[in-house]
Amino acid sequence: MTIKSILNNLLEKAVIDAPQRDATQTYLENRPLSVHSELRLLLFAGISFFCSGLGMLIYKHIDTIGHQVIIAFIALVTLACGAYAYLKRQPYSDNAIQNPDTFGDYALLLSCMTFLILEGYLQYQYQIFGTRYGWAALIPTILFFLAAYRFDHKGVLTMAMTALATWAGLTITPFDLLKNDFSNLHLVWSGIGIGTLLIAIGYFSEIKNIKAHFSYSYYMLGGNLAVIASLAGSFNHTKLFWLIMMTLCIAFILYARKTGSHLFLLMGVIYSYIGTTYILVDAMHSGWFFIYYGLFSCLGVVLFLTYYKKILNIKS
Amino acid sequence: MYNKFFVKNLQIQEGAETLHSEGLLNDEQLQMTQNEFPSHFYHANIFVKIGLFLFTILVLIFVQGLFFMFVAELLFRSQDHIWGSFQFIISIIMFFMIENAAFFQNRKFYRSGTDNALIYAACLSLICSLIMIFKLSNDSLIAVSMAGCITGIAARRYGDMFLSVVTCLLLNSLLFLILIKFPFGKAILPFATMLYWAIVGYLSRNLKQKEDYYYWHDAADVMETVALLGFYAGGNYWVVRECSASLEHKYPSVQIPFAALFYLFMVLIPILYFYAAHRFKERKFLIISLLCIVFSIITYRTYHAVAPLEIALTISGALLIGLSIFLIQKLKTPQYGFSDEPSAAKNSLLETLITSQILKNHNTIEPTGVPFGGGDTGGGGASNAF
Repeated sequence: MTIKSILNNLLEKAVIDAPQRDATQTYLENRPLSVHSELRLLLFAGISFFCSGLGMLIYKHIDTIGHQVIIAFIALVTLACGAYAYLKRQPYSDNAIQNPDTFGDYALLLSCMTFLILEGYLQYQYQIFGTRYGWAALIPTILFFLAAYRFDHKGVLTMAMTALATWAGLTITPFDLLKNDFSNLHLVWSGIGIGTLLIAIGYFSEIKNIKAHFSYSYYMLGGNLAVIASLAGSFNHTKLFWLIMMTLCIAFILYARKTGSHLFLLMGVIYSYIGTTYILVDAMHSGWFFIYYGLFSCLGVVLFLTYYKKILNIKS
Repeated sequence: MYNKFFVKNLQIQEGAETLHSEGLLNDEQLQMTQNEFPSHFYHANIFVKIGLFLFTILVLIFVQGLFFMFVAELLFRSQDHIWGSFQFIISIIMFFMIENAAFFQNRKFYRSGTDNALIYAACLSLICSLIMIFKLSNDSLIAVSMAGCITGIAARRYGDMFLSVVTCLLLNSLLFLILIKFPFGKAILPFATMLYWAIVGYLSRNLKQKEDYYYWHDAADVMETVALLGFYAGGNYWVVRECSASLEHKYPSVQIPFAALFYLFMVLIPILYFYAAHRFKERKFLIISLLCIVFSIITYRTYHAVAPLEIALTISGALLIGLSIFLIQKLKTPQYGFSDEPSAAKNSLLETLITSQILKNHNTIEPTGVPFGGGDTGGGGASNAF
């Protein structure tokens, strides 16, 4: 239905009156097309193109361009963008800050990304950290966490969490989560540990009301990491990891119930379904059982998702 | 067939919610809309819909597997058309379930994942069964027409977006299959494709604006989008060159006739879409225009070594940063029909705007006469939706 006929329908039932219909229609027809988010997307695409191009450029031409030139250039970009973000900063607050300057947040993001390139380059060329690789991940972690809290920047917070996971030898990016080598029991425990730590930080920021709007990012990244790690643990090691995973999934569903977040509901359902199915099918070794189980369990999930509001007692 | 009355009311409700989020309706009016235009469809969040869709597909796969395990013994040595007949019975059962009021329509599913999965599975099963019964696997022309008929009828009946796109694509491949039978047809293939998508786009745009055809509004909208992309792809140099290479079995692909014309299309079509975005003030055209520009650049880079990837990325990244900063600064005051207005939190501005408009139109000096207000809650509310 076009907006015109919607307005006419509203007019018919006297929800709006004729002057409002006319005014709304004239306004909608004459207002300029807002390209706000498209322009931000372009800016973001530009930043990521620039940074990945720069990274590739350095690796390919590491011997031909002078090192000092490269270092000076990247350091200049990092410092200039960082300085811009710092100059346009807002006073610190425990709540979300709306920065009136359009580019402050983007400058900070670019500065942090080029900082990573700079650090990687220095390590590659001059081995400034030697073999203590832990420091190479820990420095950006601390720096990014500070910057994220000072400038109230969720993107930099995500980068900080990624760096923290790298420090433990894990990758945390959603699409690369499965690339972690969870056949290593040590890594499974690190994944569960760091994931739980992030969830705990998120929980405390919500309770103490310090940057409570960050908690969603903490839950999202930390929760996924911990669940995937424990799921992989139950596949590769002992079935006891299933208990940890189910605890986390129930926590997801309870969180979904509390906040109305359907993404967490879906994640809780799918992860617990995969984990439980694996345990059962692995125990039974029977084709017929698999088919009957699959049929009725999937039917059960469909019914659960259809009536989840009643089951979880959520008011719409 | 979904209840048209509820579909209409749902569309009105959704439109009212958009207006409300932009501060053009107040809370009372939104509440009134929801009372006046009731829609009893089961309303699911997008993530719940995804879950329902996935698990319904799984249920159907298991049902199918169970069925075949029962009859496998019986049918092991039998022929395709017997398997096909069994599959045909399955699809009839599925369509019966979809159409059956007690099973389906009382549940008030409308694009809730479950019904989508059932409809797609029923169509797929029917198509496969007919192909098996009539042994059409070697006769692609008839198979494609038959599939197109089935998806077309289903798309019309259920107003489904995905099925209507599939129908358009099937018709496009039908055109393709007919034309490649003639040498002359091969030569005009790209132009015929472009013409086909232009017609689809024109028709769906018309359909979208017809007031009585609201049942197919969303389907027409998606078809229009696909038509815009198809029109561009039909004239894209890379698509034409690689398609003709695969038709002639000549690899690597060689230069095609009228190359300059296709390069021209690659430049002109995005500009055309950009103009359309400006003219109709529709975001869709703008995004598709940007996408087409990206595809054009990739196409050009495939055949002409401009610069190594890393230099191209760095320079284009720097250019993009510069361009977007420039545009953001420039559009601080709206120009050329574009603005850099954030979508929410502009209610006070809007109120004054509309009030002044009303005053101008009707010369009534009654600021209390029009029930605007309650704008302070207007833009929020979306933040917890995920």
